[in-house]
Amino acid sequence: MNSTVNKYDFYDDEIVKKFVIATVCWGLIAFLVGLVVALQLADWRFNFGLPWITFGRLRPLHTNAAIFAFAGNAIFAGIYHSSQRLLKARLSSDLLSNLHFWGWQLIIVSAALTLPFGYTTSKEYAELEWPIDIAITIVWVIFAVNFFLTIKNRKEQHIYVAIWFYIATIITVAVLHIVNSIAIPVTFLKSYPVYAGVQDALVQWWYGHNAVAFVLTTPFLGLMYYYIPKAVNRPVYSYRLSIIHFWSLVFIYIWAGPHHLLHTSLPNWAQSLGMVFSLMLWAPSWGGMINGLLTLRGAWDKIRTDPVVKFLIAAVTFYGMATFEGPLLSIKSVNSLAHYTDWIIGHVHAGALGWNGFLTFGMLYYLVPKLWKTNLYSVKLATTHFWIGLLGIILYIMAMWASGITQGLMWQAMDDSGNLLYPDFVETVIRLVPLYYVRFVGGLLFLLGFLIQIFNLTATVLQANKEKVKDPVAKGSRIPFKDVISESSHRSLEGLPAVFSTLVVIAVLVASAFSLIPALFTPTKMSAKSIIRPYSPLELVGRDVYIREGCYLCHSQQIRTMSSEVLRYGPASTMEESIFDHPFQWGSKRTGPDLARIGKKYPDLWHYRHMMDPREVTPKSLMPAYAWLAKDKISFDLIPKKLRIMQQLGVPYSEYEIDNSIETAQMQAATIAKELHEHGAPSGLEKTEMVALIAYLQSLGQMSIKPLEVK
Amino acid sequence: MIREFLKAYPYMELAVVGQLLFFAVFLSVIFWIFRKGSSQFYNKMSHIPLMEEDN
Ligand code: HEC
Repeated sequence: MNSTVNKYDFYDDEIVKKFVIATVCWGLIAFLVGLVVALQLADWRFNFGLPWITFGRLRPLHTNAAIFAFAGNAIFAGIYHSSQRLLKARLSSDLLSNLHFWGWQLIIVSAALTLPFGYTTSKEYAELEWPIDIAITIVWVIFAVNFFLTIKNRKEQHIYVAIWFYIATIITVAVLHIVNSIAIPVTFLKSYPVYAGVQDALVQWWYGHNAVAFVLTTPFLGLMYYYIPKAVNRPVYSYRLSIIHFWSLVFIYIWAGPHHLLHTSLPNWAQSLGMVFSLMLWAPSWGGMINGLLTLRGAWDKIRTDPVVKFLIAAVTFYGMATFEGPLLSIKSVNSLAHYTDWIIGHVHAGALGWNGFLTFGMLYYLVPKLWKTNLYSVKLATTHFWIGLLGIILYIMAMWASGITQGLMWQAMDDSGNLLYPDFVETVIRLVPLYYVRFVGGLLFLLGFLIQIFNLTATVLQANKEKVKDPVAKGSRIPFKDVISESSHRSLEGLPAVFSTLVVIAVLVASAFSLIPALFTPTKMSAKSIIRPYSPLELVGRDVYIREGCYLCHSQQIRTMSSEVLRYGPASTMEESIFDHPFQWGSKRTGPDLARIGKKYPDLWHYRHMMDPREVTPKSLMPAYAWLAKDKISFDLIPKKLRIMQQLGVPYSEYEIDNSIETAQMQAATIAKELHEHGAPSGLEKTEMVALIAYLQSLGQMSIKPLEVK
Repeated sequence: MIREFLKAYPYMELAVVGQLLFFAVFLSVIFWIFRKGSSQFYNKMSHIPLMEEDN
C-alpha cells in the first residue's frame, strides 16, 4: 500500500467482516443448542444423563448464545458498517475496534465454558458470573468510546435517526447491566446478588424486559432505518414518525418490566403501572412498523425480486406481530392464562426468529456481497432460505400457541363442584409432547434455511476477487461548531449528540426510578424476621444446587393470586416468603409444577427416588434425572463464608450460627441420610448434594414462624 | 399489616405522575418535530443514508 494514503480516508470494513463471520458462526451454535433443548423437552432421554448437557444447564447457553452472540455480533456488524457511512467517518480507532471484537468473542467463549458447568447467577439473560460481568462492562465501555469518538470525528453535520437508536442502546444497556449485576462474590465463579425476593424480581425484570428493548429492539430498529432505505433506494417513509417512534420507545419501554410479574406478590399498583405502559407501547411500535413497511412505497415489486427486501420486510412484519402480542399478553386476564406457559416462548420466538433473525439474515445478504465486492452467489437459494425459514417460524409459533393455551386452560379447568379437572400436573404436560415435536421440526427448518444461507454466503465470498478494494470515506459537509450555533436551521437537537445523549440518559433514569420505586415499599428483612426464618446452612447449600442445575427454568416458586393456583398449590405466595432469597427463584416458565410449597408434601425418600429417576415415581414425567447428585460431595468448608455474605446482605444469621454452620449442616445431613437409608436408600448419602437439595426442597413453604394468614 | 399499609397508601398517584410525565414528553416531541421550517430539514435528514453511491 502506498504510504501516503491516509487510512482515515477509507472506511474500516475489516472489522465489519469479522463481526459478520462471528454472527454466522455463533448463530449456528445458538440454533443447534436450541434444537437440542427443544428435543429434551419432547423426550427426556436427550438429556443423556450428563450433568453439563441437561436442560437446566443448556437452556441459558441457548438464550445467551442467541441474544448476545448471534444478535450481539449482528448488531455490532451493522452498527459499525452503517455508522461509518452515516457519519462519513472511519471508526475512530482500529485498536478499540479490535479490542471490542476479540473481547466480545472471549466473553462468549467464557459463557460457553461456564454455563454448562453450572456457573450461573440464575438471573435470566444475566446468568453470567461476576468476572464475566466485569469483562462485559469493560468491553461495552470500549465500544462506547469507539462509537462516540467516531461521532465526534464525523464529517456529516447531522445525525441520522439510526444513530440515535444506537446511542440509546449503548447508554441503556450499560445502565441495565451494571444495576442488575451488582453482587457479592463468594468464590471466583459464584456470587450472591445484593437484591432479594420481590426486589430482585423487580430489578431482574426491569433488566430482562429492557434487554429485549435495548438489545433486541432499538439497535435492530436503527439497522432497519438504515438498511431498508438502502435496500429499496428510497428515504424512510416519514422521518417525523421515526422521531416519535424513537422517543416513545425510549421513554415507555423502561416502565413496562412489571408485566413479567402480574398476579405475583408484587404490589398491585406496580403491576397495573406495568400493564398500562405495556399497552401504550403498542402505538409507537406499530408506528415504527408502518414506517418501515411504507418505505417500500412505489417499489413493492422488490419484495418479489430482491431477497434482501423479502427478509427485511418479513422481519418488520414480525416486529409488528410481536409488538401486538406483547401488550396483549400484558393485560392481566390474558396474562393469567398465558404466563408460565409456552405461549410466552412462542411470543419470544416470533420476535427472535422473525424480527431479529430475519432482519439479520437480510442484512447479511446485503452486506456480504458489498463487503467482498461481488454479487450474491445465488438469489434463488436465498429465496429458498426465505420460504423454508418462514415455514419454520410459523410452525414454531403455531405449536407454542396451541401448547400454551392448552396448558393454561388445563391448569384453570374446574368441574361444577369447584375442583380442579386436572389435579395431576403431569397430565397437563404429556398433552403437549406432540406439539414439542412440531416445534422441533419448525426449529429444524429454520436451521436448514440458515445452512443454505451459510453455503450461499461462503460461495459468494469464494467467488469474490481476492484483491482488496476499500471504500473511500464520502465527502462531508460538516460545519464548524461556532457556525452551527449561529445558523438557526441547524441549531437542532438532532445535530447535538451530547445534549441528545443527556436527554436519553434522563429519560431512561427517570423511567427506571419510577419502575423501581415499588422495591422501596416492600417489607424489610428486619420486619420479616419475626415472620420468616432464614435457610439453615444445609438448605442454603441445597438452594445453590437448585440454582446450579437450573431447576428454576422448569419450576416457578411463586403461587399467583388466582383461585386455580391456590387450589393446586396452596395459599398465594407473599412478599415475606422470598425476602431472604438472594437471588429470587420465582421462575418464568412452568414445565414442571410450582415448588413454592413443595416442602413436606412428600417424604424425603420420594424426593430421593424422584431425583434419581423421575419416571420411577411419576411414570410419564419429562424431568431429567439428576443421579449425579447422589455422588457429588458438598463443599462444607464454603458454608461459613456463604452465611457471612448473606449476613452482610441483611439476612439475620447470628455469629453463633455462622461459627457453627459446618457442624449444623453436617448434623442435618446425617439425619436426612440416616432416615433415607432406613427407608431403603443406599448409605453414605450424608456428604452428598442430594441431601442438601432435599433439605432445601423440604423447607419451601415451611419457613414461616407464625402460621400464614390465609386469604 | 404491610398489605393493609400498601392498600391504604395512595400509590396510584405515582402512576398518575408517570402518565402525566409521559404525555408531557410525548407532546413536546410532537411540538418539536412540527416546529416551523422543519419540513425541509427532515427531508434532508431522511436522505442521509442515500447520499453516497452504493457502498
Ligand atoms: C425439563 C424441565 C424440568 C427440570 C429442569 C426440572 N424439573 Fe422438576 N419436574 C418437571 C416436571 C415435568 C415435573 C412433573 C412430573 C414429575 O413429578 O416428575 C416435575 C416435578 C418435580 C417435583 C415434584 C413436584 C410435585 O409437586 O409433585 C419436584 C420436587 C421437582 N420437580 C424438583 C426439581 C428439581 C429440584 C430440579 C432441579 C434439580 C428440577 N425439578 C428440574 C420438570 C423439570
